Amino acid sequence: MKTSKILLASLALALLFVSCKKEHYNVGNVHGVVAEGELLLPVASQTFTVLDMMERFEVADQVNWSEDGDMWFSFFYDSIAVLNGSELLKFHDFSFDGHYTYENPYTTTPTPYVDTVVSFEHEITFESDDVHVLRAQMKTGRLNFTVESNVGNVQHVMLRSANIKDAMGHDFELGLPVHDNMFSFALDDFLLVTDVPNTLNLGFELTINALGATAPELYVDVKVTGEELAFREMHGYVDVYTTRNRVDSVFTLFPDNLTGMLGVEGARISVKERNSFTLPAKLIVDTALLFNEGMEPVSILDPLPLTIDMPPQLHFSEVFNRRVNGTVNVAGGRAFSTSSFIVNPEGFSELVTLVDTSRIDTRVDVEIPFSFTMDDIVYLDTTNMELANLELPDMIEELTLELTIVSTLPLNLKASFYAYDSENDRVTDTLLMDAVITRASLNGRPETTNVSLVVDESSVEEVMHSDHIIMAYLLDTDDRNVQLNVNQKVDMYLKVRVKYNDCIDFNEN
Amino acid sequence: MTMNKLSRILAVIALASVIGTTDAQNVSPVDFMRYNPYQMNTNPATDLPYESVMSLLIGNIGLDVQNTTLRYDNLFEFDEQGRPSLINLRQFADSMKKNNYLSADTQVDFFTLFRRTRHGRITINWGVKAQTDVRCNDGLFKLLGYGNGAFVGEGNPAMVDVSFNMTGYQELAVGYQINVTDKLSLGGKAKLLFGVANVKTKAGDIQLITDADSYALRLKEHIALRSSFPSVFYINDAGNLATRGKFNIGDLFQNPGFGIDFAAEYRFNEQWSAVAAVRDLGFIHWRLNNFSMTGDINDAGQFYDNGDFLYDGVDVDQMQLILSDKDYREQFMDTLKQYFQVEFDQMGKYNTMLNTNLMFRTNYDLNPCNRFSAQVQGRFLGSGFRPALTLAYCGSFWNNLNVCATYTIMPHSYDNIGLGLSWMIATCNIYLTTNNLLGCFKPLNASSFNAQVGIVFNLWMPERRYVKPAKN
Repeated sequence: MKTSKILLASLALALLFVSCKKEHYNVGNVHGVVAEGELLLPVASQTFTVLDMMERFEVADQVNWSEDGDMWFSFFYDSIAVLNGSELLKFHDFSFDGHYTYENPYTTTPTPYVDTVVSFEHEITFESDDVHVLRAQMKTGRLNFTVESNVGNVQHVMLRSANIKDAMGHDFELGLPVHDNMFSFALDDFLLVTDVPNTLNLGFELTINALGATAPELYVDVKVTGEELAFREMHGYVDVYTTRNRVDSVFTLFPDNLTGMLGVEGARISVKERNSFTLPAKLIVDTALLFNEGMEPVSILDPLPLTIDMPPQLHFSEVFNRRVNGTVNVAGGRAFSTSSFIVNPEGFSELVTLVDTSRIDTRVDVEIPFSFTMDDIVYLDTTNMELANLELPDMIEELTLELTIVSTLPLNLKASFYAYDSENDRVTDTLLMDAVITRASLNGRPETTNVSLVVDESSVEEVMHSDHIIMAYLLDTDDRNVQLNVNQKVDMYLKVRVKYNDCIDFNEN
Repeated sequence: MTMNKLSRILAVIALASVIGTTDAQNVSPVDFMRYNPYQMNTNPATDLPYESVMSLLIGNIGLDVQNTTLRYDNLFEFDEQGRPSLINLRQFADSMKKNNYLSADTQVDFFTLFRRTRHGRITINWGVKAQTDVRCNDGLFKLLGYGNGAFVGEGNPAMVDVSFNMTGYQELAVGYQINVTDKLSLGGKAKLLFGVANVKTKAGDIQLITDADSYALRLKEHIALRSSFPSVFYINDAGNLATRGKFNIGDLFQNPGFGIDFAAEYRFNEQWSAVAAVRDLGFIHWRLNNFSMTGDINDAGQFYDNGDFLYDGVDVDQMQLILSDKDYREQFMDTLKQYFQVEFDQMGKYNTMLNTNLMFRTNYDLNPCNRFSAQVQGRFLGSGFRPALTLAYCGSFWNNLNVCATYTIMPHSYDNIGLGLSWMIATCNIYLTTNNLLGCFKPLNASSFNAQVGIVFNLWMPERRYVKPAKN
């Protein structure tokens, strides 16, 4: 029994010892996890080629490049039918009055009850300052006649002209009933043949009803008007013909949020033309100005006026090509030019054929190479963010954004980042200030730049409750003229190092 | 009242009141208690000094846990009252070793009977066993405790390596022990097994590689499980494991298996003897209602890279959307989850091996009341081979008290001082043992913990060798 007692006492002591430690095993009091450590995460990685950047700036459509990758901005201005043959083959409306008289054979006797037939001829001239037509295919035209007579009312007219031919080559002959002393007819599609330029003879035979006129002198007044007279094709002579042209065009290089001036070298301006007239022409440019905002306009071409010959040709061919230097606003600008197009500038007096579809088209190509100097070009961008609902900030002790940029661009890039709270309209934190994030690659080899952006505990909350990040970039080329190449690119790696040290409380939602 | 009647009454009480027995599979002082009938679990060749022994439900009650590294005190921070208040992952991670093992074994014997026959002893035993074996490295906890900042570079990945094997099965065993000569005894058991449930990893590897330059995260994942459950479990239309209906008793007998134990004991002389034994050599054939679970990286889009999940950042536009659009951010996170979906599938039959145990022991009997033993044991677990070296002393005192002291050394576990007490009251042999005395007071901070208690009824006791012969 003694042994039993000792054994039981030992067990009781052990239980007592264990029960004293009961609280030690009461896990119901555990209310959280101590979290302490460092997380390394990639955030974003991207390769931006120069083309990607152009697409980002929405100017990729204007960019071209050669086989070796040299790039240029390409703009063109098409002037289609800057001078059209129909302009020359269109005539002014015209009118003339004819007064025809003859003696009345029945002044003393009662007028016999017969119709009177009056015949006469008249020469019609359609005037033009520029063309002298000997033979032409009419396109449109209408002749209107109004007759007034003391004989009576006109009942019928017969028109004849040896200068107007129908499609079969017959002389023109047309009989028309007349009402109210007026009549008209269309000249469409007739052929005009004349020995005297711009004239035609028209014979009238008017049948006037008998109304017993007793005046000693009978008369017939004819008023002829011609309208919309135009030829489809003509054979004749053309004088010097001049027309003025004015181009006022706004062009865009980079978006509005990029500001500064680009020093441009070797921008190419070329003109192509297509002259389907059978006559030579000339383009004389007398004004070519580039307007940069806030600056005086500068002349792009020098000297002016500039004369460009435009020989007859059915296909576009280059007639002018010149390289110019200058400065241009990085956002773009406005180009303004005035010029004259002259057909038959030398005034050749040879017989020519002119059709209304003849025209002069021009195309002005402007190529601005990506070869420029940059001096503190500023690019501003803003990105939205909505991080307020993330519950991480309490845990974060320090957040380091590590940006690695590997660039073959020949540009220096400085950046400033600001966290911005739009609700309260305030910059909550300056994340980066004038930090060089890209160094210019001058030898084609990639330049690596590392930038760390530390957001400490005191700033984390502010940044997380900001809703925008404003990014300001400053680009420069160290006063060097640099050439952008389509093969140049920027590899960007953004990663984050997060030091966290806090207690995650199970009781908090 | 005669002794036999008393024995029968106690047996009936035991039948009516006891719930179960457990028997640990690892080194226990019971294994060295030369007069405890349950030492035959380790050494089927042992010649027990009893005519017949029976236990019902409470022959063994115990728990065996081997826990090489995971310590309760290391997991928490404690407040002034000594209560755990916060989980400290870094502290816990620091306390872990490269590889950490946690195993737990229980056995419930519903019925055990030893009976001496003319030529030997026959044994019948019916019980259930539950075995859990988990191995994990320190990668997951180090990653949680330090973040991936501590694992940078191709050569320094955060590696999570987990394997486990959990098995529950019934065991119906028939054993026979025979003394072939005065010096040699042999014994063995044939076991008919019925698997109830099993979950076993084929693979459980996750690697997180953080690139030193870009911090790009490459996650390699290969998780594969195979499992067998009673038919109450099924895979629903969504491909998830779900339950339905009620448990079917027939499910307890649907997965057959077979195992054997055998041992040989040789007595060199009155003092020296040696034992060699093999235990739990066998398998279970999981036949019905088997499921596989795979957790490889799914090809869900932009972050899939040759079988891995590779997150090397998003492009700038996407990042801008993530930063500025809450809905997009949620969709993005949902998309990420698609890479890590696990799939459950019905699968065919498979086999699992039992956790086979090898043992070699030498005994030195100073006299019939005092024995010294040295034992080398090794156990094959799914997670590897687990050796143990034990030195033991077992003595008998005052005719009715049997005391056994042990010292066991195992990998990562060197402080296992065990004690066992066995006390005879009438026909009842009541015993209480542990292989780690200190661990009894802080079981969650011990590397090894084994506790066994039980009551065995010696129904007929012609001899009790540990009691000194009467001097009359």
